[in-house]
Amino acid sequence: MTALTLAARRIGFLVLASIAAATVRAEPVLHDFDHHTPAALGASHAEKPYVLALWSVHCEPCRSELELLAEFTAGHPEIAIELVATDFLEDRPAAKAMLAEFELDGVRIWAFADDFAERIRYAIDPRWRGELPRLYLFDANHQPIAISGRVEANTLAEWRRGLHRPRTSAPASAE
Amino acid sequence: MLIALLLLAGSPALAQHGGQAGRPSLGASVAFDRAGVLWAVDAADNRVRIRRSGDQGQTWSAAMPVNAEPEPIAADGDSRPKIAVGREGELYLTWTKPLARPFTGEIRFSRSLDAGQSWSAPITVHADRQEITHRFDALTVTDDGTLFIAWIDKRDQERAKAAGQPYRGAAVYFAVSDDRGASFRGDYRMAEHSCECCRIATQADGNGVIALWRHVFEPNIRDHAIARMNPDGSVSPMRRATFDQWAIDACPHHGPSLVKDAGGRLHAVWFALGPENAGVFYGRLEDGRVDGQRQVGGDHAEHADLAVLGESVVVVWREFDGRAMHLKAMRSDDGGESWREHALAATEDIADHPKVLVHDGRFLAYWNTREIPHRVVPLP
Repeated sequence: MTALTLAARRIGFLVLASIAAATVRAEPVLHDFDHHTPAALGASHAEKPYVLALWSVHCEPCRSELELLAEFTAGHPEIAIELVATDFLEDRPAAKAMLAEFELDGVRIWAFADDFAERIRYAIDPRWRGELPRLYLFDANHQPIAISGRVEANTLAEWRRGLHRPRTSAPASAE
Repeated sequence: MLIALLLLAGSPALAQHGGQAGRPSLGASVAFDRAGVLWAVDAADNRVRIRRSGDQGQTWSAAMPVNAEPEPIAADGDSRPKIAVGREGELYLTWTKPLARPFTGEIRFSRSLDAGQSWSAPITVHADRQEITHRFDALTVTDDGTLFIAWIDKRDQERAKAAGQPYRGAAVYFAVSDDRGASFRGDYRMAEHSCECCRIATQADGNGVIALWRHVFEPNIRDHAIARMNPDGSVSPMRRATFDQWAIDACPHHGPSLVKDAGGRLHAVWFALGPENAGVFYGRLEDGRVDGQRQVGGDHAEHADLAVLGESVVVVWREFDGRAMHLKAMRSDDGGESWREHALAATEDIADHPKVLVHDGRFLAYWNTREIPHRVVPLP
């Protein structure tokens, strides 16, 4: 094999690789989520409310959760959503394919990056037993509401409305 | 050629089933044969593998592949290859082969009639060949040598969906073999409205098999149901077995275990996050109630299994403390009334769900961990 054909092959590979890169650019980017990530998320959203949503390609009710979050973020783009697939590396292509079905612009997308899932789960919440979907609604003080299982749209809407109430206001009876 | 390779590399099916990267599949099962040989089955590189131990798990033979043709094999969490031993020492295996669409699969079967020297080409045990859920296989051999294989099946859900009707959960189906696994008859339906993603616990019972599974009682109560599969394909009426009132639309991925003592009492362990009872539980399943229900381990206990010998009952489970995964056990020598707890082992790396076995008058815990594969720990 001559140097010329080798070079030609290399160029051919680069061209093909860039074509491949262009076609995957539309796909969601999965950030690595490990047992240090929950604390980092809290710090990055200091004094701001945010949503931490956990799902998996192996969880059927999670599909409706993704749909709900897509609707919610469209109506409330000011609320940060951290969406975490609890799936491992081998399921990332399947996770991307499922995410591509939903309009999740502005949602940060993660996937478990460490195969010791129990350690990540514990770092998120020692009380969480791994059931999915699992949703955490953090207010500005980062006091979470934890919800297991499918969530109703009005639960999210009510939580969002509640965030507008001044924290030092009179008791609820005043409303 | 290059294009084809690049496209393949991006194909979900290949990446999902290739298993080159990511977590090793630790899902394994074990059984003693009549000669006291301990057999362990697991999966790697698209092959079911079997290994044997003549010294109760202290040392193991090399792993021997079962399926000559590679195929995807579920071997994680509540999905794992299963092994059962027949009356004449036949070795029977089942596993779930995931298909391309999410949540779909086929229940596969292979047997060895020569003590593991050779294995039959795998067959699919159900007649239904839709690309839908047939997953979470449960394999049981009765005392008279009949094989029962149960699984979670979504044909009824798919039919309802096609008709625009809502459907609660999935269903449990089973197949029966009277000829040592040469053929299966069935696609018998045990129950509609099971939960979608938990293992099924089974226990041989005369010429039939009792099954315990997570059900979806109306509207969304994910407590357990119990029924008996009969060899003619009929089913004894299903009844509710646990009463924790866990209302949830979620995948717990956390199935039960079941064992029958010499007096016919059914002992079970299960997981529930009910309004009053949250955790792993032990109890004896009576008609319409649970006797002696008690929590197993602490708030992080999970994936328990149990075995019985005479008046002795042993429950094993794993428990994560933020740093290490612990293998724990509790033992009762009075039929489940009073208990002592034991710490058996720990690892700071990933670990499978534990199993407990009875052999030669002793209880043995089996735990497949990345640190020490196929570990066997005798109970004190």
